[in-house]
Amino acid sequence: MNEPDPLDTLLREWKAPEPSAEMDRRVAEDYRRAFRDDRRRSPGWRGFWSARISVPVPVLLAAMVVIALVVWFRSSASTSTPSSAGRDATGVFTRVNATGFQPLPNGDARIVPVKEILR
Amino acid sequence: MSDMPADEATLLQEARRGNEAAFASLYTLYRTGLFGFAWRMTGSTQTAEDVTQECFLALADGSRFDPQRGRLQAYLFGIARHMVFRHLKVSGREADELSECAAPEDVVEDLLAAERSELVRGAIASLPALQREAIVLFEYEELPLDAIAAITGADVGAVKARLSRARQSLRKRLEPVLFPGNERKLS
Repeated sequence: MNEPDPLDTLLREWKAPEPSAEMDRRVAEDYRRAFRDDRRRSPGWRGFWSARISVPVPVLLAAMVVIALVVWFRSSASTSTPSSAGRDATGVFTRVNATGFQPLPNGDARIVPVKEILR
Repeated sequence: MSDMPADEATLLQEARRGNEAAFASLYTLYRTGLFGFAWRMTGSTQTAEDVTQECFLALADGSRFDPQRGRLQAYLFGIARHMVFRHLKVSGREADELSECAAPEDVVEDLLAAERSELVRGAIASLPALQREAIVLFEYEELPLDAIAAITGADVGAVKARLSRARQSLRKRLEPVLFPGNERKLS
């Protein structure tokens, strides 16, 4: 068995004091403050309504143009294309939408020939 | 790849999420070691407490430590080391090994006047800063050579050399305490 080096034994006689409770308190306070500040920087759901995003102007303009074109195409397609519902194989409407129909005030009825409709 | 212990990594992760108990566990783990290192290097309780506080403030801040780059121990002691050397420079003490400090004027007189621990303190304080650092981390914090190398940014061979020179100086300066018989023979 090796005997312990007397130098090591002597060195161990020099003992460090215990750090103060005041230091413990300061460190704990530092941690709380750091974490509180961190939470303030990233507010989570509470900050959802005040969150901001930055979008480059060209991207924003391009997105607006695309949206405008989509809306315009959709609206023009719905007005220019007549509905095929109610038209039979001969091209004659057999069912009509009577929404908003009002009879003529004098009660006169007029027979319209098919040729006139198709012209 | 980090060799950080899994439980320590978990504690750090929790502490960064705001878990104060996890932070307290890490604090308990390193508090005494960091304080002891700083105290033995500077000889000042106030400075040692400031250094320890600064280390944990950096840890609480969380943004600067990357677990992939090394152990938490090396990170914390690295901060402590940086602050200690800054303090030594400000207080006019040299940090390089070339500056050999003067030996105590009369070790025998010190023997009569002071306790052995005070003599050890004086002998260690008289070492050049890098040797003092090596002996404090090795003897008192009981860190392995590779951990000391990671903290100090030196290779293991350099740490061994510093330790060897430090022990040689200490043995010489503390000879009257270590071998009181020799002293008697001389007188």
